[in-house]
Amino acid sequence: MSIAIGDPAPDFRLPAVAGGEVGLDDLAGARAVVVAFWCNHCPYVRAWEDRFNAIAREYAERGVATVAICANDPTDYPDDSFENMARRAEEKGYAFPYLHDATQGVARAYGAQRTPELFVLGPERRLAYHGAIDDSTDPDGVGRTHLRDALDALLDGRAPATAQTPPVGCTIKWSRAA
Amino acid sequence: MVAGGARRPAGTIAAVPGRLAATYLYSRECPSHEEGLRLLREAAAAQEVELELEVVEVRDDRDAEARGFPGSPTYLLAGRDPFPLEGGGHAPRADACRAYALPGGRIGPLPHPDDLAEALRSAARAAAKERT
Repeated sequence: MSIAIGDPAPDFRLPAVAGGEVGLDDLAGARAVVVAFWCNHCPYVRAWEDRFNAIAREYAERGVATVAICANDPTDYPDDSFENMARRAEEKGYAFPYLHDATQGVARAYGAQRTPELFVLGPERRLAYHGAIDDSTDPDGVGRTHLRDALDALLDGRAPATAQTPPVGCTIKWSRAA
Repeated sequence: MVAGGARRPAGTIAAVPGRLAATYLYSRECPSHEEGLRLLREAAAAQEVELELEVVEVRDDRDAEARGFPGSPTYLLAGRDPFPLEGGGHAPRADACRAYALPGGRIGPLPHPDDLAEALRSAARAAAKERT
Protein backbone atom coordinates (compact mmCIF):
# COMPACT_ATOMS: atom_id res chain seq x y z
CA MET A 1 0.00 0.00 0.00
CA SER A 2 1.39 3.38 -0.99
CA ILE A 3 1.83 6.39 1.22
CA ALA A 4 -1.32 8.48 1.44
CA ILE A 5 -2.07 11.96 0.20
CA GLY A 6 -0.77 14.35 2.85
CA ASP A 7 1.77 11.92 4.25
CA PRO A 8 5.38 13.07 4.53
CA ALA A 9 7.49 11.49 1.80
CA PRO A 10 10.03 8.89 2.91
CA ASP A 11 13.56 10.19 2.67
CA PHE A 12 16.09 8.53 0.41
CA ARG A 13 19.63 8.83 -0.85
CA LEU A 14 20.48 6.75 -3.90
CA PRO A 15 23.26 6.42 -6.47
CA ALA A 16 22.68 8.36 -9.68
CA VAL A 17 23.67 7.10 -13.10
CA ALA A 18 25.51 10.38 -13.72
CA GLY A 19 27.65 9.76 -10.65
CA GLY A 20 27.38 10.49 -6.96
CA GLU A 21 24.19 10.23 -4.99
CA VAL A 22 20.98 12.22 -4.86
CA GLY A 23 18.73 12.47 -1.84
CA LEU A 24 15.42 14.12 -1.12
CA ASP A 25 17.16 16.63 1.12
CA ASP A 26 19.23 17.80 -1.86
CA LEU A 27 15.99 19.05 -3.39
CA ALA A 28 14.99 21.17 -0.40
CA GLY A 29 14.89 24.36 -2.46
CA ALA A 30 12.44 23.01 -5.02
CA ARG A 31 8.87 24.33 -5.09
CA ALA A 32 7.64 20.78 -5.74
CA VAL A 33 9.33 17.42 -6.24
CA VAL A 34 8.32 14.66 -8.65
CA VAL A 35 9.48 11.19 -7.60
CA ALA A 36 8.87 8.79 -10.49
CA PHE A 37 9.30 5.05 -10.22
CA TRP A 38 10.78 4.18 -13.55
CA CYS A 39 12.73 1.58 -15.49
CA ASN A 40 14.13 0.90 -18.94
CA HIS A 41 12.38 -2.19 -20.23
CA CYS A 42 8.70 -1.45 -19.62
CA PRO A 43 6.67 -0.47 -22.72
CA TYR A 44 4.53 1.86 -20.64
CA VAL A 45 7.58 3.77 -19.45
CA ARG A 46 8.83 3.93 -22.99
CA ALA A 47 5.46 5.17 -24.22
CA TRP A 48 5.54 8.04 -21.72
CA GLU A 49 9.28 8.65 -21.65
CA ASP A 50 9.55 11.59 -24.03
CA ARG A 51 6.50 13.34 -22.61
CA PHE A 52 7.75 12.91 -19.05
CA ASN A 53 11.19 14.16 -19.96
CA ALA A 54 9.68 17.22 -21.63
CA ILE A 55 7.56 17.96 -18.56
CA ALA A 56 10.57 17.57 -16.26
CA ARG A 57 12.60 19.97 -18.40
CA GLU A 58 9.79 22.51 -18.70
CA TYR A 59 8.86 22.55 -15.02
CA ALA A 60 12.47 22.64 -13.85
CA GLU A 61 12.49 26.22 -15.10
CA ARG A 62 9.61 26.88 -12.71
CA GLY A 63 11.33 25.38 -9.70
CA VAL A 64 10.14 21.79 -9.83
CA ALA A 65 12.70 19.06 -9.16
CA THR A 66 12.25 15.63 -10.73
CA VAL A 67 13.97 12.34 -9.96
CA ALA A 68 13.34 8.92 -11.44
CA ILE A 69 14.05 5.76 -9.50
CA CYS A 70 14.55 2.30 -10.96
CA ALA A 71 13.98 -0.39 -8.34
CA ASN A 72 13.63 -3.37 -10.66
CA ASP A 73 15.69 -6.45 -10.01
CA PRO A 74 17.69 -6.80 -13.23
CA THR A 75 18.12 -10.56 -12.84
CA ASP A 76 15.24 -11.34 -15.21
CA TYR A 77 15.20 -7.91 -16.84
CA PRO A 78 18.79 -7.06 -17.76
CA ASP A 79 17.65 -3.88 -19.53
CA ASP A 80 17.15 -2.46 -16.05
CA SER A 81 20.73 -2.89 -14.85
CA PHE A 82 22.57 0.17 -13.58
CA GLU A 83 24.77 0.18 -16.69
CA ASN A 84 21.75 0.13 -18.97
CA MET A 85 20.05 2.81 -16.89
CA ALA A 86 23.07 5.04 -17.50
CA ARG A 87 22.98 4.24 -21.20
CA ARG A 88 19.28 5.04 -21.42
CA ALA A 89 19.59 8.35 -19.58
CA GLU A 90 22.41 9.37 -21.91
CA GLU A 91 20.60 8.29 -25.09
CA LYS A 92 17.36 10.04 -24.20
CA GLY A 93 18.93 13.10 -22.59
CA TYR A 94 17.05 12.71 -19.33
CA ALA A 95 16.50 16.10 -17.75
CA PHE A 96 16.39 14.54 -14.27
CA PRO A 97 18.63 12.36 -12.09
CA TYR A 98 18.05 8.66 -12.71
CA LEU A 99 18.59 6.80 -9.46
CA HIS A 100 19.10 3.14 -8.64
CA ASP A 101 17.21 1.59 -5.74
CA ALA A 102 19.18 -1.64 -5.62
CA THR A 103 17.73 -2.79 -2.30
CA GLN A 104 14.20 -1.83 -3.42
CA GLY A 105 13.83 -0.22 -0.01
CA VAL A 106 12.73 3.15 -1.38
CA ALA A 107 10.09 1.59 -3.63
CA ARG A 108 8.78 -0.33 -0.63
CA ALA A 109 8.82 2.78 1.59
CA TYR A 110 6.71 4.68 -0.94
CA GLY A 111 4.53 1.66 -1.62
CA ALA A 112 5.20 1.91 -5.34
CA GLN A 113 3.85 -0.95 -7.41
CA ARG A 114 4.34 0.00 -11.04
CA THR A 115 6.48 1.82 -13.55
CA PRO A 116 5.77 4.54 -14.32
CA GLU A 117 4.22 5.63 -11.02
CA LEU A 118 4.48 9.18 -9.78
CA PHE A 119 4.60 10.67 -6.30
CA VAL A 120 4.39 14.46 -6.44
CA LEU A 121 5.47 16.20 -3.28
CA GLY A 122 4.27 19.63 -2.34
CA PRO A 123 4.91 21.88 0.64
CA GLU A 124 6.82 20.24 3.52
CA ARG A 125 7.44 17.36 1.12
CA ARG A 126 4.05 15.85 1.71
CA LEU A 127 2.38 13.76 -0.95
CA ALA A 128 0.12 15.94 -3.09
CA TYR A 129 -0.46 13.74 -6.14
CA HIS A 130 -0.01 10.04 -6.77
CA GLY A 131 -0.57 8.19 -10.01
CA ALA A 132 -0.11 8.46 -13.75
CA ILE A 133 1.52 11.08 -15.96
CA ASP A 134 -1.61 11.52 -18.05
CA ASP A 135 -4.47 9.37 -19.27
CA SER A 136 -3.07 7.80 -22.45
CA THR A 137 -0.01 5.90 -23.58
CA ASP A 138 -0.67 7.45 -26.98
CA PRO A 139 0.52 11.06 -27.04
CA ASP A 140 -2.20 11.86 -29.58
CA GLY A 141 -4.88 10.46 -27.27
CA VAL A 142 -4.22 12.45 -24.13
CA GLY A 143 -7.30 13.98 -22.58
CA ARG A 144 -6.29 14.66 -18.98
CA THR A 145 -2.82 15.92 -18.16
CA HIS A 146 -2.62 14.72 -14.55
CA LEU A 147 1.01 15.59 -13.81
CA ARG A 148 0.89 19.01 -15.42
CA ASP A 149 -2.38 19.79 -13.63
CA ALA A 150 -0.93 18.74 -10.28
CA LEU A 151 2.22 20.77 -10.75
CA ASP A 152 0.32 23.84 -11.96
CA ALA A 153 -1.87 23.66 -8.86
CA LEU A 154 1.09 23.33 -6.51
CA LEU A 155 2.95 26.17 -8.18
CA ASP A 156 -0.20 28.24 -7.78
CA GLY A 157 -0.36 27.43 -4.08
CA ARG A 158 -3.31 25.09 -4.38
CA ALA A 159 -3.84 21.40 -3.74
CA PRO A 160 -4.28 19.42 -6.98
CA ALA A 161 -7.96 18.97 -7.85
CA THR A 162 -7.23 15.35 -8.69
CA ALA A 163 -4.88 13.93 -6.10
CA GLN A 164 -4.93 10.29 -7.17
CA THR A 165 -5.17 8.41 -10.43
CA PRO A 166 -4.42 4.73 -11.04
CA PRO A 167 -0.81 4.26 -12.13
CA VAL A 168 -0.77 2.40 -15.44
CA GLY A 169 2.33 0.38 -16.17
CA CYS A 170 4.41 -2.70 -15.56
CA THR A 171 4.70 -4.14 -12.10
CA ILE A 172 7.92 -3.43 -10.24
CA LYS A 173 10.14 -6.49 -10.58
CA TRP A 174 10.77 -7.43 -6.98
CA SER A 175 13.79 -9.46 -6.10
CA ARG A 176 12.97 -13.12 -5.71
CA ALA A 177 15.55 -13.34 -2.97
CA ALA A 178 13.59 -10.84 -0.85
CA MET B 1 8.70 -6.63 -40.16
CA VAL B 2 5.19 -5.33 -39.96
CA ALA B 3 5.54 -2.73 -37.22
CA GLY B 4 6.70 0.68 -38.27
CA GLY B 5 6.27 -0.06 -41.95
CA ALA B 6 4.65 2.14 -44.56
CA ARG B 7 1.07 3.07 -43.73
CA ARG B 8 -1.83 2.64 -46.07
CA PRO B 9 -4.61 5.21 -46.16
CA ALA B 10 -7.61 4.05 -44.16
CA GLY B 11 -10.04 1.92 -46.11
CA THR B 12 -7.66 0.83 -48.84
CA ILE B 13 -6.78 -2.56 -47.35
CA ALA B 14 -8.53 -5.25 -49.32
CA ALA B 15 -10.44 -7.64 -47.13
CA VAL B 16 -9.22 -11.24 -47.06
CA PRO B 17 -12.07 -13.41 -45.90
CA GLY B 18 -11.16 -16.65 -44.26
CA ARG B 19 -10.73 -18.54 -41.05
CA LEU B 20 -7.68 -18.27 -38.92
CA ALA B 21 -6.53 -19.95 -35.73
CA ALA B 22 -5.37 -17.31 -33.28
CA THR B 23 -4.10 -17.47 -29.74
CA TYR B 24 -4.14 -14.44 -27.47
CA LEU B 25 -1.69 -14.81 -24.61
CA TYR B 26 -2.00 -12.28 -21.82
CA SER B 27 -1.12 -11.51 -18.24
CA ARG B 28 -3.38 -9.68 -15.81
CA GLU B 29 -0.27 -7.85 -14.59
CA CYS B 30 -0.28 -5.76 -17.76
CA PRO B 31 -3.11 -3.25 -17.85
CA SER B 32 -3.68 -3.26 -21.62
CA HIS B 33 -4.75 -6.88 -21.95
CA GLU B 34 -8.45 -6.19 -22.44
CA GLU B 35 -7.75 -3.47 -24.97
CA GLY B 36 -5.35 -5.78 -26.79
CA LEU B 37 -8.05 -8.43 -27.16
CA ARG B 38 -10.53 -5.84 -28.36
CA LEU B 39 -8.02 -4.67 -30.96
CA LEU B 40 -7.68 -8.21 -32.24
CA ARG B 41 -11.42 -8.75 -32.52
CA GLU B 42 -11.95 -5.39 -34.22
CA ALA B 43 -9.12 -6.00 -36.67
CA ALA B 44 -10.47 -9.45 -37.52
CA ALA B 45 -13.95 -8.07 -38.09
CA ALA B 46 -12.61 -5.29 -40.30
CA GLN B 47 -10.58 -7.80 -42.33
CA GLU B 48 -13.48 -10.26 -42.47
CA VAL B 49 -11.29 -12.90 -40.90
CA GLU B 50 -13.17 -15.45 -38.85
CA LEU B 51 -11.02 -16.17 -35.83
CA GLU B 52 -10.84 -19.53 -34.15
CA LEU B 53 -9.70 -17.71 -31.06
CA GLU B 54 -8.13 -19.17 -27.97
CA VAL B 55 -7.61 -16.72 -25.12
CA VAL B 56 -4.95 -17.91 -22.71
CA GLU B 57 -4.02 -16.31 -19.42
CA VAL B 58 -0.39 -16.87 -18.51
CA ARG B 59 -0.67 -17.28 -14.77
CA ASP B 60 2.80 -18.15 -13.54
CA ASP B 61 6.44 -18.24 -14.54
CA ARG B 62 6.40 -21.97 -15.21
CA ASP B 63 3.66 -21.43 -17.76
CA ALA B 64 5.53 -18.43 -19.20
CA GLU B 65 8.70 -20.48 -19.58
CA ALA B 66 6.88 -23.41 -21.16
CA ARG B 67 5.29 -21.11 -23.72
CA GLY B 68 8.38 -18.96 -24.28
CA PHE B 69 6.10 -16.06 -23.38
CA PRO B 70 7.78 -12.80 -24.45
CA GLY B 71 5.26 -10.60 -22.64
CA SER B 72 1.63 -9.54 -22.52
CA PRO B 73 -0.11 -9.40 -24.84
CA THR B 74 1.27 -11.79 -27.43
CA TYR B 75 -0.66 -12.68 -30.58
CA LEU B 76 -0.10 -16.01 -32.28
CA LEU B 77 -1.66 -16.21 -35.72
CA ALA B 78 -1.74 -19.74 -37.13
CA GLY B 79 0.77 -20.53 -34.41
CA ARG B 80 3.20 -17.83 -35.46
CA ASP B 81 4.11 -14.61 -33.70
CA PRO B 82 3.98 -11.91 -36.39
CA PHE B 83 5.62 -9.15 -34.39
CA PRO B 84 9.33 -8.65 -33.80
CA LEU B 85 10.60 -8.51 -30.26
CA GLU B 86 11.51 -5.03 -29.12
CA GLY B 87 14.12 -4.11 -26.55
CA GLY B 88 16.96 -6.09 -25.09
CA GLY B 89 14.89 -9.12 -24.20
CA HIS B 90 14.19 -10.72 -20.88
CA ALA B 91 13.41 -14.05 -19.31
CA PRO B 92 9.94 -15.47 -19.96
CA ARG B 93 7.97 -14.23 -16.97
CA ALA B 94 4.26 -14.15 -16.30
CA ASP B 95 4.39 -10.48 -15.28
CA ALA B 96 6.22 -9.28 -18.41
CA CYS B 97 4.53 -6.63 -20.52
CA ARG B 98 5.44 -6.63 -24.17
CA ALA B 99 6.75 -3.66 -26.11
CA TYR B 100 5.57 -2.97 -29.65
CA ALA B 101 7.13 -0.70 -32.24
CA LEU B 102 4.79 2.04 -33.37
CA PRO B 103 4.89 4.53 -36.23
CA GLY B 104 7.31 7.36 -35.75
CA GLY B 105 9.77 5.24 -33.82
CA ARG B 106 7.61 5.19 -30.73
CA ILE B 107 7.12 2.22 -28.40
CA GLY B 108 3.88 1.21 -26.78
CA PRO B 109 2.22 -1.65 -24.93
CA LEU B 110 0.05 -2.69 -27.91
CA PRO B 111 0.63 -2.95 -31.64
CA HIS B 112 -0.71 -0.29 -33.93
CA PRO B 113 -4.14 -1.36 -35.26
CA ASP B 114 -2.89 -1.12 -38.85
CA ASP B 115 0.01 -3.46 -38.05
CA LEU B 116 -2.33 -5.95 -36.42
CA ALA B 117 -4.69 -5.76 -39.40
CA GLU B 118 -1.82 -6.35 -41.79
CA ALA B 119 -0.58 -9.31 -39.73
CA LEU B 120 -4.07 -10.81 -39.75
CA ARG B 121 -4.45 -10.32 -43.47
CA SER B 122 -1.10 -11.92 -44.17
CA ALA B 123 -1.75 -14.88 -41.87
CA ALA B 124 -5.25 -15.42 -43.28
CA ARG B 125 -3.88 -15.38 -46.80
CA ALA B 126 -1.19 -17.93 -45.89
CA ALA B 127 -3.75 -20.13 -44.15
CA ALA B 128 -6.06 -19.98 -47.17
CA LYS B 129 -3.19 -20.97 -49.44
CA GLU B 130 -2.42 -23.97 -47.23
CA ARG B 131 -6.04 -25.09 -47.35
CA THR B 132 -6.15 -25.11 -51.17
